[in-house]
Amino acid sequence: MSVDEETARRRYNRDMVLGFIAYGALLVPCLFIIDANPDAGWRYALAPLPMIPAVFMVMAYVRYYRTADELQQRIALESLAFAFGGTFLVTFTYGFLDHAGLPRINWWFVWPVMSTLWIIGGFLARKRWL
Amino acid sequence: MTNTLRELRAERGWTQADLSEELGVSRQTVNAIETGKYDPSLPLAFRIAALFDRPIEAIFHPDA
Repeated sequence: MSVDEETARRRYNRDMVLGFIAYGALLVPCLFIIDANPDAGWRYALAPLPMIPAVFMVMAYVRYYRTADELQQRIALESLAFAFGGTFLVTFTYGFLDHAGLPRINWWFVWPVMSTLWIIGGFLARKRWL
Repeated sequence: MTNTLRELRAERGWTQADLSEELGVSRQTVNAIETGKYDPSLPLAFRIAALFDRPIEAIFHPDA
């Protein structure tokens, strides 16, 4: 690992840890307050607040891959392409099954599906190139 | 494509980590180039050639 890459990796890890801490710190009180005020109109403004630190985590992810070298970028692209296509196949397949009568699944499942496919895609891309 | 990167690196007594630092890429990328799993871009190939003070075609060879 080159010095620049190590610095970029350290910054990425730091930003992710801080993002997770901020996410957790906002998530718990937001859920508690919303559950305690089920009829309040402002709950829709409060509900997505934990996503603010998530925006910074996404920015950290993009910034890290901008500084990554060409092979790492290729591996990232292949794993994301795998996850993008796979998520389309999984979500649309289930959408048709939902239409046919299977129970409706929460939107929260989309990201775990995509990140699982991203991990599998990353494993396959690394196996191919490294 | 084949290359003589490993031999050139060995001549200088460098580890893959040393070379990766010189080139500004990861050690895994150096290893992937040396093992022929990955062919570098033209800009990176030029950086390698400049580092070892040789023309690109003296380091990288098309497959026979």
